[in-house]
Amino acid sequence: MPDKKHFTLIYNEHYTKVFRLCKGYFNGDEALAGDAAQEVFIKVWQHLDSFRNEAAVGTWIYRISVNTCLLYLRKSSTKKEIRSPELPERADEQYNAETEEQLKKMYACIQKLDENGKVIVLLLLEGLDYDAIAQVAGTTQDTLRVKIHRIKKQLSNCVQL
Amino acid sequence: MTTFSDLQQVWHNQPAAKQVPLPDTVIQQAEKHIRTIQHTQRRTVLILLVTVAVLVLYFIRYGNGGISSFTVGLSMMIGSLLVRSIIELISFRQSQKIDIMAGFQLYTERMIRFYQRRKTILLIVTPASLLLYIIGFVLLLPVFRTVFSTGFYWYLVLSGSLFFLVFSFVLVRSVKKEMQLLRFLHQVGKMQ
Repeated sequence: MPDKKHFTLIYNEHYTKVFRLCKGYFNGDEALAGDAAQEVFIKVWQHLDSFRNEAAVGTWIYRISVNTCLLYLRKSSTKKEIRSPELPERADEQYNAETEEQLKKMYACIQKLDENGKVIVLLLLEGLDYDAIAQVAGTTQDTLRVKIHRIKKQLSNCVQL
Repeated sequence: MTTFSDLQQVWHNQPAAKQVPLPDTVIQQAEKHIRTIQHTQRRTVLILLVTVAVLVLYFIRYGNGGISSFTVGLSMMIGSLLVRSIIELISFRQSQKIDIMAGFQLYTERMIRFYQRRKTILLIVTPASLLLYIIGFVLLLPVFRTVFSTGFYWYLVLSGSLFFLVFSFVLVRSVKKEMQLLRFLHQVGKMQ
């Protein structure tokens, strides 16, 4: 049985990142993202004993996250649909209407990418380096480099439109 | 001009989750999930063993070394259920073995292979076992007619037919769903 303390540490450190990634994957749908993030951590608990520190724990969790999100909506056990993005109203100054609008646009633009594009762009937005993204995507850095350039441009252009 | 760094900043400043489940809650759910899988597998194996035992005992007791339409029909019905249950159990175990920790590309490839095997099961093995089950049922009807009252006989015929209809509907729906999933995975695989 995995160590509860170790799991709690990992959970507290990575929950927000996983939730954000899932939210991006599901067009900003908070409820779906929450459910998927929970499923990710259920799998993390189940496989924690087999984690061998060959990769960083963050990279390991991102692998589980993208694989879970890929089929989350399509597996027969889940009967959920993506709802239109609803962002909470916030009164603080930093989070203004413009930022909110931009975020909505970002979600919409991410949805326009193919599945690999989605994975890559979400990991880029999270700030992962090329090596970590290559490990999560399961591809070489050379292949990735070309894709990353194209996807970054695609997202920036789309958000500006 | 919005740069990718601007987008990254927006991304990191987005609101956090309104409700974050406690780690203990997630652990409890994970443990419950593991227990459910173990119970389901044990139950399936138990049902299979009991079915085989009943079949063997039946033949020892009533078979008399002879083959009648009743024994053939019953064997076909039980046999088809048995084969299908074993195959589904193997398939379920295979699905549990797919490494969720693999890189995205490898995971997609493995899922494609898994659903291709499922396609064979759903399009060949399952319809064949359903057909065997129906033939077995039809072979039993003359025996039912002589043993049971007319009312109960017709009840068996109608409920049996209804079962085939409902099962066929469920089968078609699950085939469609899994084929959609396979098409989707093929698309993802092509883009890699």
